[in-house]
Amino acid sequence: MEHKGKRMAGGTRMTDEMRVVITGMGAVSPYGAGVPPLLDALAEGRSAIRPIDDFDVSGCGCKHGARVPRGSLSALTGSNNLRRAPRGTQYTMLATEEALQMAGHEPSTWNPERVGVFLGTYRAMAEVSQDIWHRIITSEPRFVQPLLFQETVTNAVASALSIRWGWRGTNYAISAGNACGFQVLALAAQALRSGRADALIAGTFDLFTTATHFDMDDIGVLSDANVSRPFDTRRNGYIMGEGAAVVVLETLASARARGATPLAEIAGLGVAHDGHAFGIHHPEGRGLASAMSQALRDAEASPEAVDYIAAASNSTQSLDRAEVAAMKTVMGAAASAVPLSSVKGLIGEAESASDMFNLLACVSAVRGGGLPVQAGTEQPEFELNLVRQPRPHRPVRTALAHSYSFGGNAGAALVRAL
Amino acid sequence: MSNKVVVTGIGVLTPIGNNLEEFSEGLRSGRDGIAPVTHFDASKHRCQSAGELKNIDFSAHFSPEELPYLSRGAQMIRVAAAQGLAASGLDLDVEDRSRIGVVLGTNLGGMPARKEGYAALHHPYRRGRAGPKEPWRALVLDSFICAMSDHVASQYQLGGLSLVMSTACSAGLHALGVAMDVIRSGRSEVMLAGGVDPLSEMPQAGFGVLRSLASDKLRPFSKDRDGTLLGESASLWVLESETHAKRRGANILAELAGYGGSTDAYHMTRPDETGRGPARAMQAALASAGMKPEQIGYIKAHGTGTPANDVIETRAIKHVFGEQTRVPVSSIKAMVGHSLGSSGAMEAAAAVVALNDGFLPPTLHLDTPDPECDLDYVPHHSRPTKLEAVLSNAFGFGGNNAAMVFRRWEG
Repeated sequence: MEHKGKRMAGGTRMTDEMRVVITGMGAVSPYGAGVPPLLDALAEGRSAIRPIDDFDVSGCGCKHGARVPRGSLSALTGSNNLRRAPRGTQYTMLATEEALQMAGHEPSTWNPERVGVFLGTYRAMAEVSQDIWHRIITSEPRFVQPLLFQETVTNAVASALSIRWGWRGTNYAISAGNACGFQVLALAAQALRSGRADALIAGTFDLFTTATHFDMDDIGVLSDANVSRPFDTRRNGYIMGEGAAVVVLETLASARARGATPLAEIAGLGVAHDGHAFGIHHPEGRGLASAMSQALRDAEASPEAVDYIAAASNSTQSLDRAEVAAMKTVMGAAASAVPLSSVKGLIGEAESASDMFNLLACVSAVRGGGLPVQAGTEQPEFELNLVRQPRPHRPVRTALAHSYSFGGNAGAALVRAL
Repeated sequence: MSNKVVVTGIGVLTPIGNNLEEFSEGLRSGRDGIAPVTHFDASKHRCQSAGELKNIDFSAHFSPEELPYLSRGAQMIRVAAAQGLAASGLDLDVEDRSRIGVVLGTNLGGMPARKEGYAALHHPYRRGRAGPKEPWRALVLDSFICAMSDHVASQYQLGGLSLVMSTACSAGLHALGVAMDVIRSGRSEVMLAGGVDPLSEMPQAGFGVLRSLASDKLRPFSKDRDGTLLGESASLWVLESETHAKRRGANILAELAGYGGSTDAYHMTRPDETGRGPARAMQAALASAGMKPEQIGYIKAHGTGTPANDVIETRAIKHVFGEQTRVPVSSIKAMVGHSLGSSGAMEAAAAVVALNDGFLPPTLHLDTPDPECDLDYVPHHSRPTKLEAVLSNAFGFGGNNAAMVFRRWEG
């Protein structure tokens, strides 16, 4: 059996207690609630990018976005207190419900003291603190809304989840730039392997807001051409997206012990920082190259063994070039042969949520699902094997998900079929 | 190979001292760092006092070209990082920088102190593209919490795991704990960890309307306590595996012996009255250190001075240490205020100071004993003592708890 034979970096045997598997996944994306609508649309190449019509974008260079359709969620968030919760909490909770259902979770499944929630986000609760500041600026500090203020802390979402399901293990709320999905997974894997937890709800969320759209447009990172086209010679910025995604993580041993069906293994993880300059990533993708190498080494996989890459490129000149450079550094000739696509051509740059969308695409790929097709890219600048039709030529057993941020944070997760 | 994690350098900026020696002297003499707010116009705020940094001139630490591009939070953590690295004697030029990471606790990151600062950066108050010389782009990016770890990683070209922990008031202690876990797991031999939070009128307003701020003085464990007071601080710790520290002949300040966390799963702002959550965090930290409660000589309490926290923390300590425990407990928040996401790490530095400099930091303004808070809180004055191991607590909004054990290092 393969799971008995894997070795760790130190040369010791990788036991089932050390192998981290995904037993459930959930998402809220610009295609609405649910993982299937997201994966289907990505494989069909159906874009979620639309003209922004609910606030005035006449002063903006970029007038498009990929946004979660609020109308379609109102029925789902109508019950309990979710309707009044901030959007970050709503989306993450809906994604968690879906992931738990897939994981076969029941109230007695785990000891609640041994379940934790680890969430990552770039902008945290910016949408809420904007409202608090607005009250201070336009009115007086004493008119700040107390029930809203308590939602400004980054861990408000993780706390809401722990209260809802009664989980009392350690909760983390982290940020590592707009790419922090795999930092979350790295902490989760460490907690599971060291025996601190039996199950972890690991996820990310980031929201499209009017203010962040304007702020990002003003600092010149969004596409004036209103097109997201990763790797294309004419790319000139990204389109903002949003969403939340969650996975249930357990060790292979505990998943098997409770009779759960693991969906895939996270066989390798790498996280790194460019350590280059503040707010500017390394031109050769130093951090991403380091993260990719770690993930491959962790999984004892050769670059040639990778059957699909869910790329991080977001249609900016520099990030896309750096990602390709990192792939060449780590994979050599295999970099131009491996099937690859960036979902940001279809759903924009959803920041930390993009990382988890990439992970879900890889889980789906190793389970025989269709690959996300590369949309938007008509004149590729680089020699890459861009996915143009969802059926891969060779079956995907090993897939690599990337994350990379202009702040220099990078991550890679190697997903393997079980 | 030893997997003990040791502390080899700490840089701190606090309202009672701008390096570890000054901080120690402030703790020993019971200096009160609370004063009227100067960073913003507090006249319209419910509470007008806080613990601000004093006697620090950031223009002496940064060039005139660099300074306008850095938020106050970024300035604070950069100065603390330079201090902590210098204190550790770590020579980054001979280290493998690609494996050194940065984990910092923060709530606000580079958030501006005053409303004018916020309005100058963000839509809808500010419009138009920034000119090439304007520090605007940097300050917009700096206004997000993750900027704090990005700054340190970028400044020192560090390539390891880099992130900010943002679990409200326990963040700084979790940051130290995550860095400890990374070293224990063997992924890195050296990690930088700590926390930073500047004072800002956003939380000053928010905690004000939540009625969490004191009307006069911050009086931890006192019967007449009526709230906390905010503060600002930064700390940067150099953590290493014992093997690495010994190999380079480092001066070891203490062993980071154990760390534990828990969640109340009870209420967003109200802590669970039973104290079970904090008790489980303390028990987990002791278990992780392989120690018994009797081996702990001092507890650096979270001690916010709010009516709920102090009685629940007392209950939790008794749950772990026994109803009749005589272990000394103190809160330093009456001296430094509550610096939110930074406090867990900065206050843990006080626990290390107590261990190394041989005294218990006092709980100031504990004038009226509370029958429900009946432990030895070291009131008013510091007390000389010899300690072998100490426990440091940090509990946050959303019922997020952390605890850490430090052990004296006998080289």
